[in-house]
Amino acid sequence: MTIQFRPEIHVVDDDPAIRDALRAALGMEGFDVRGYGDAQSYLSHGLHRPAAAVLLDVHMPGRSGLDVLKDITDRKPSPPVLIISGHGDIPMAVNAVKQGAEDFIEKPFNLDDVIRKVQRAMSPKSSM
Amino acid sequence: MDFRSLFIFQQVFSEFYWLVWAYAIFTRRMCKSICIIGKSAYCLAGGMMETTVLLKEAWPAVRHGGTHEKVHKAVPNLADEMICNATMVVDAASVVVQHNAAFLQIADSEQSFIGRAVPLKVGDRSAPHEWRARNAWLACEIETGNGGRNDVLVFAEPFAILGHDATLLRFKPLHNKAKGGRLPSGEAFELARNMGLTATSTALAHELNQPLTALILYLQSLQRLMKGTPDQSAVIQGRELSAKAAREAQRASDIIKRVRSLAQRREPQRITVNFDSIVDEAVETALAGRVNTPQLMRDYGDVGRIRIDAVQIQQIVINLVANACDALAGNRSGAVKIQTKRIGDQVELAIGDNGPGIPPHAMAQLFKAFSTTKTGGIGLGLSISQAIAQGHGGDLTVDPYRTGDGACFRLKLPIEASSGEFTRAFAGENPDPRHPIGQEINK
Repeated sequence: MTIQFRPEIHVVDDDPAIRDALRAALGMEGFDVRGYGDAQSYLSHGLHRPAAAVLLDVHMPGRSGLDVLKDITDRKPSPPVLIISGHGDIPMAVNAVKQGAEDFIEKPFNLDDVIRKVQRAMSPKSSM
Repeated sequence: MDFRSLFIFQQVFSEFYWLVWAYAIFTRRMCKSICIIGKSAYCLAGGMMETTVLLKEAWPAVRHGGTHEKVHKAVPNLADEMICNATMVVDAASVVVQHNAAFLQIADSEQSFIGRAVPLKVGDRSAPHEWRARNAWLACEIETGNGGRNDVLVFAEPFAILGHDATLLRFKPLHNKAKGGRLPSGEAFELARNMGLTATSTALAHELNQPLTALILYLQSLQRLMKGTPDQSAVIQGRELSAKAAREAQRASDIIKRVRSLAQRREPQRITVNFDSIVDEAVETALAGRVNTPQLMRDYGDVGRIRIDAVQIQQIVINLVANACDALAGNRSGAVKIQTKRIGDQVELAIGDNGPGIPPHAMAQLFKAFSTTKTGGIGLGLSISQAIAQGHGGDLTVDPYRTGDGACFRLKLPIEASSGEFTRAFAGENPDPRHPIGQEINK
């Protein structure tokens, strides 16, 4: 797949290493990754930027990922959100999907999973 | 926290981390020479496979035990099988939304609590949403209908109702009315409170998931970067990635070290106790709240006082009694025999049942961590029990089947340290946790 421009992916996770690793990994796949360390900084600086997808950790200090999810999905149009689930909390992740998240990724995840899910989230809904 | 289980996790994980860490270091060196980059990518692939295998197979608690429901189910399998059937849903303002009839029973009340403030306290805290973060069974007081107080264990977890944040509370009674309503003593109570495998495994899984996830991503990126013929900039980038991967592996290793230091602090804290009494107390705790308990035969040999970590030994007894009851589930003529006796310089506790015994194919894995035949179990109970017994200088063994009987577990503990003037002198805190007090006395 040839990517003419670099779609922006937002990563909201309180762990700097996860943000950096996703930046390195997805950067190599042609994405421009922006990291946000907590819900507030994402809401202040990231929410208004157009994004191809948002990777959102549910377990963060302060406002939880689920709270932020609501703010994202309230915007129209809203980017697809992939929930990063920290300790295999499947019911919570399913709940997030019900509330508008596109899908969830369970830590520890591997690069192929993330890329597959990001690409699927970005693809037009009619193709799903 | 259950430090013994932490210790076992640590043992399982430490070998693996050294492997990945070595790969990462190895790879970093490899990057200096472009001609052997192919080899390093090969090694990385090996490392990745180790990671995947470990996460998929070696730690079921992480892979599929992470949900509250499953982990919750796993806890009783570890040691206490008290039935939990009373539940309550509380809203964010600590008002009772719903509860079932079983809750009225444990609250000794005939009137509904729906719409009223939650009639519970954990310590001085009465807001259930604050208890959720503890992720463990907590000792709690219920204000009963007749103005008294009942002690129960409560587990709080998030429970969304139509998008609103609520808390689901599950209860376990701490006393067994059928057996005379006796409350467990302080230590047994503390034991039940500390059955924190849920908390331990969840916290540890979360802690380790962070560096592991980053490590996997860095290594996979590196692998992709080194495909084909990498140019100079790819080599520079690869060097950075491998350094970062090494840093994350080191971070995971540091977590393991912290866990190890916790586990070391939990050497047996020996006190002199009457062995038969603490066994009996643990048997009561194990049976508390169970329905259809098997017939119990107690044959205590008056083995006298012994210097042990009573909480840890009671953990073994609870686990063995719970296992025996499980083996007898649905068996109307089920019976459990609990026997203590003195054999030379040891005491032996035998807990046997008349169930089906242990099949030969299960024997080899019986005491190994993460092996289980129970649905919802995570296979740590017996391995932890054996580790505790060995930590006391004793052992836990099993007779898998005797004609006419089922399995019989035998816990043997040395009694040398159980008497004498020095025992009392050392009754305080052990100054050097690396040398259990009981062993020092023998020198």
